[in-house]
Amino acid sequence: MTLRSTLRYVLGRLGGAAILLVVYSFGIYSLLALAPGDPVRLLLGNLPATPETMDAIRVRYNLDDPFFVQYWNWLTDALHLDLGQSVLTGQDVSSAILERAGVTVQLGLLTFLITMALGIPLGMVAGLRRGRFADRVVSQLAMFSVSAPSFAVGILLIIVFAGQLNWLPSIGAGEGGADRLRHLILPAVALSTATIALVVRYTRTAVIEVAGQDYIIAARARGVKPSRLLFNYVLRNSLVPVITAAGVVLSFVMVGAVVVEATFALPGLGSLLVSAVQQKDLPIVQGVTLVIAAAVFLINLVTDLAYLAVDPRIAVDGASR
Amino acid sequence: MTEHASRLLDVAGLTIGVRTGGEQRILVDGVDLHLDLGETIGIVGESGSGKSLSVRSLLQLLPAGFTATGAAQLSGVNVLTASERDMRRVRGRQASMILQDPFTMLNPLMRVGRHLEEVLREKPEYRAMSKPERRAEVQRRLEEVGITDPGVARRYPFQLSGGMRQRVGIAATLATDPALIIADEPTTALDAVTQQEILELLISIQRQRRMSMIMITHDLRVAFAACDRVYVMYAGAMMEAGPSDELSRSPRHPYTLGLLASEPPLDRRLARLPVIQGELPSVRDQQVGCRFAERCEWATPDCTQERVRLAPIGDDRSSACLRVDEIGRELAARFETVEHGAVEAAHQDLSAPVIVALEGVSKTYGHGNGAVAALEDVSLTIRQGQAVALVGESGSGKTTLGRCLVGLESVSRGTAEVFGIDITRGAKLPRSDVRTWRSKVQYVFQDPYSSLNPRMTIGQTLAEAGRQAALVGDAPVLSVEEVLERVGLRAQYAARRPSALSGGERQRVAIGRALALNPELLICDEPVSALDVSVQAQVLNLLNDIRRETGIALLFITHDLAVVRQVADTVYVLEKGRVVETGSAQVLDSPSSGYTKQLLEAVPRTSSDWLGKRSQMGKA
Repeated sequence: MTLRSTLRYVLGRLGGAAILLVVYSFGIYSLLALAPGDPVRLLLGNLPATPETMDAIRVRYNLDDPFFVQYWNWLTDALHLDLGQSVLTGQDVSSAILERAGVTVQLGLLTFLITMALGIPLGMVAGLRRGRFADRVVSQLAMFSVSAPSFAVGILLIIVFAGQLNWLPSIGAGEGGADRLRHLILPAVALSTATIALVVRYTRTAVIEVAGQDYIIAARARGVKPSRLLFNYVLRNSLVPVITAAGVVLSFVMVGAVVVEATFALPGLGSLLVSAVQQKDLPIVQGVTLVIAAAVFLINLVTDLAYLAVDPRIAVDGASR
Repeated sequence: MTEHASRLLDVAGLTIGVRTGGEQRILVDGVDLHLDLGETIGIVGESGSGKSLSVRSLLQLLPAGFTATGAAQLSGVNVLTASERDMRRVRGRQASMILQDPFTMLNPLMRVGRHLEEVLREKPEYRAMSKPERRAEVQRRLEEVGITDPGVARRYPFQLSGGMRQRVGIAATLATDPALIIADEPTTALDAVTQQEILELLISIQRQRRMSMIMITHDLRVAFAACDRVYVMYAGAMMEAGPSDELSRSPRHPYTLGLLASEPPLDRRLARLPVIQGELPSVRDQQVGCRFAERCEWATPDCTQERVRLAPIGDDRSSACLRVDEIGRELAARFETVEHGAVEAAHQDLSAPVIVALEGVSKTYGHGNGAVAALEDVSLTIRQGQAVALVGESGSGKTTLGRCLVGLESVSRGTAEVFGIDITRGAKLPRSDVRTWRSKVQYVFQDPYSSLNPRMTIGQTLAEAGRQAALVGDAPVLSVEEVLERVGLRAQYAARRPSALSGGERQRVAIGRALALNPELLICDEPVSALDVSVQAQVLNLLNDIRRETGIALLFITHDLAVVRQVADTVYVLEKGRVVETGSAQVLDSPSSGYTKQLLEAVPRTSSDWLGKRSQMGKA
């Protein structure tokens, strides 16, 4: 594929994602109108509900304008990275998000690494040893871990590794660097139990499918070395579905972080969202949701670009579409 | 054949079984065969004969759960019992394999050149080369298989045509310089012209390198033309073996005779194609007796009770038929009548009303510069009761044309009337016209395995079609039983599901489903190309019978000129979307277009001169 068609493809996908994001933002903004009770009272926060304060809120949030005008104002502000202020602390939503995003991104990446580093090899073993002992063990474990909720796993990990064994810290995000890593290990493991199972299943299915293909038999017949067969034939050809799984994993991590951060008291986007929901701090809820949505869209775009890199056939089809 | 040739491969009593649900099933039963250095043998059989399994077991490449017993010595190694470690020295160096489907035989994510490099690297002399030398070596090996464009090594398999891919597959297979090459249906998925080229290539390389070759094929003509000796397998057992020219002239087993007879001749139209009665038996436990007995007209009770095995009958020939001595004369006499069977002239009524009239029809896909023309300026007429054949290779547009006639594709330009309905209007047609169109024209697809709904019984499928017919309501609706009878199936089939049926039976059901709507035109898109020869003959006879009984018109879409000869009154030859030749079936006797001549030349013929010309030119 030429550079130009790749570029056109990427721009097309970005444009599509932008349109979807606008649609999505409309839904998010509508939360304000859909939430039970008067939006004015919702936006008052801790302020006393006097006629003056209520008028001030109405003016500041343009609540007397028609709904679409309100939305338009909010959207244009959001495009300038102004997501409003927290009704409780008065802090800018965008700076609150920036402050908390670091922990969540680190947690997400660590979870992703653990998931892929364990999920792909286990899935390959299960696929190549289909129906044998190793496959049955791996498949049963995957079944078990996918059905274990991550907060429950988190609590179990805290009891065992932080409480009983006292190997790792149970709460907080630590001081950065190695300490940060120590603090993130348990949450990441808790979060990856379900995602590993997903990757194992995708990989296993893909490997079984690929291992039965003619080109594997032909390659064996002409004496291609087993190691090349494993990596250049089986693994590479299994990658496309595995990349799909990787995209799902990343998206899932963004959402799953909400629960796990609360369990481990991590100051990330997830716990920010949870506390904002509890305290009815609507601008924060809107802002965090929008950021998470944008991240998920971005992950999907990167996933699709990864297909291009892995499979030359998709490169041509995708670009000519 | 050389007189003191040494033995390369000796197989005795090869038996392959598979364990499914705690039950052992025997798929290959006591196969004996041998191969000398520099010799080419063919293993011929229909699906289920066990020919592919037999050769795969020689490289220990059977699917999981399959076990092979017996003895198979390949250059002194017992390849059935050798360890995986020893097999790694056998695979590639001693024997290598080319598979049927060029579209799935190469790693889709690896460039062509890499396929060669990765096995060449095993050779010390290649490792000693410099980078440019290595590139030249890959290039040299691609040139050996007729790829002269140096850019091909950098391309991915999906960027090449089927024929090119098969050439690359052959080059990769040869890169290890094996003593034996196993070609498992190497040309089945290719067009006739490409098939001829690939076979010629294989044979010339085999001669130049003095390799041995085992060619697996379902096509007796291909085997006779390409191989020194031919083995015939049926239902997991060896039926007959012998030198190609003798086997093709005087079969010594009723099954071989049946196979030869079912092959439709290219040069004349038979009133009726000879068929082998019945269908392939389902696989059972190890059984004593001849597996062909229940379909054999010469079978006696002994045939099912005595142990049968391939036995020498002199002149380097062997047969597994117990009665070979008794019935030899009868077989010869029958073969004589087959070779000179009752010939029927193509007959058609050119005054019958026109039911399909296409004038300057074009079909393009895409827009602007990327537009691809599938059909260009095609004019075609079908009259009531006429059998028209649409002939061409893949990509000729023949299927697109058929699909346009039933509305699965739309016509881009030109005029097209079907039963007086202007089908170019497509979605703008009134409902009543669409109904008439749909009921008068019916379609039979190529693949009987995917064209029937697996969840519905045959009865449900046929009844559903009948309800469609009732909607139009101007013709008497056929009952499920009537439809089954018309396509030669017993009434019990109504309760079965497609999975319980063989390929031939499914295609009968698909034809029945089309007939249930009482159509006046039946479009058959390669209806027999997925079927075995013996079943193909049955289905062709069925279609001819139906035509005779109901006066239905047929549009027969096919790449197979011998099939055309058996069914068509009028022939249209398509090349790249254009009609290059048209006329009565006599077109096949005296073609005027160079393309038609090329197609005729490419139809496999038993005699070795079919492949001989080009490879001999190569030698001179």
